[in-house]
Amino acid sequence: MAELHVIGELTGASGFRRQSIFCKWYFAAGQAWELLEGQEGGQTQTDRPARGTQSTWAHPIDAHFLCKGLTGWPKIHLQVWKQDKQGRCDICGYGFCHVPTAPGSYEIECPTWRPEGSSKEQWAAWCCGGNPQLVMEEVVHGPEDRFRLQTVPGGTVQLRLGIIMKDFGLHHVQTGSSGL
Amino acid sequence: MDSADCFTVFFTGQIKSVKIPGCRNAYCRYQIVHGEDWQRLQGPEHGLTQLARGGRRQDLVWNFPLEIAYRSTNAHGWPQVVVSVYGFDGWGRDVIRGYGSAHFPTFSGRHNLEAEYADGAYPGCTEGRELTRTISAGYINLEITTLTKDMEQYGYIDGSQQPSSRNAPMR
Repeated sequence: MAELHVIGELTGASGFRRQSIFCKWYFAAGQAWELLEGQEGGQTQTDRPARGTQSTWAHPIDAHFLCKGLTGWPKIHLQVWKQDKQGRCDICGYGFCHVPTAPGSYEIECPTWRPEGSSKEQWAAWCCGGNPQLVMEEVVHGPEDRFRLQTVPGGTVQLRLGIIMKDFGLHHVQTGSSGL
Repeated sequence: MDSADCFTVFFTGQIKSVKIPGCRNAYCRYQIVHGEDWQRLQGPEHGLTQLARGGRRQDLVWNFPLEIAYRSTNAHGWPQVVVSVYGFDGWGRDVIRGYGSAHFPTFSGRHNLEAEYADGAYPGCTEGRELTRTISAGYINLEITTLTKDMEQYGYIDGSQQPSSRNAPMR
């Protein structure tokens, strides 16, 4: 069996307007993967940009996976939420990215989106807050059809990940290069 | 291929400078944190830079050396550098400017990092950050060279074994 280390940071996000935002994240992997060490998911602090729209989290990620099969390669599921002055939280964007499949260092920009909702829901959100949220979050990182979903873009989440692999070559797996 | 009991990683470089909008003086305290499977071989794990002064729109330059070596049996717990930046206000009082953290690069080569830096209070931990509120304040510039020994013999592929023309520095 092979092992995969994911070491890096959720560095921040941009394009979410100048508001206090935080990110909930977790690893989504198939049944052939087992998390040996590290956190499966977490939540960053709430950060407001002092200037512009670039938020900073620098949230460390250090996960150690055991790989029994290549299917279900780990993905990182992301949800960006905003918090207003009254402490209410509202969804700003959903996104996902695959953990890179070759060793090396990566700067990843993950775009996000959020459900638009019906005209009534949009008007209610504009008046009182409360953007439509997904009932089934697996839609974000799963390959199921989304044709009933209408979305608007959110901002971009930035990650810096270092990938270290162990014993994939013993199982005749060719990972190639980072390709950057 | 010969096997090894452990692998060794050497980090050298410097804490170059910091950019804090509206701030004209700062000094930095750094600390290196790592997992339980990591053993320090040489070099200090914490230190204090000089007080740097600059103009309102200039970077504050420290050019402070970082040199440390570790031995480990597990890539989990890869070392991170956690920095705390302080300065002096108009009355000469010590005030915190912000905190930042970044993992050391995970493959051999020279890398320029910008450790993101937020005006808040937390160490380089994954847990317990949900209740913290921060304001983004700028970047600390780090230049780090990573040198690894026996990673391949220990079974790890970190990306530096690829031809150098394909490796991308971390910006």
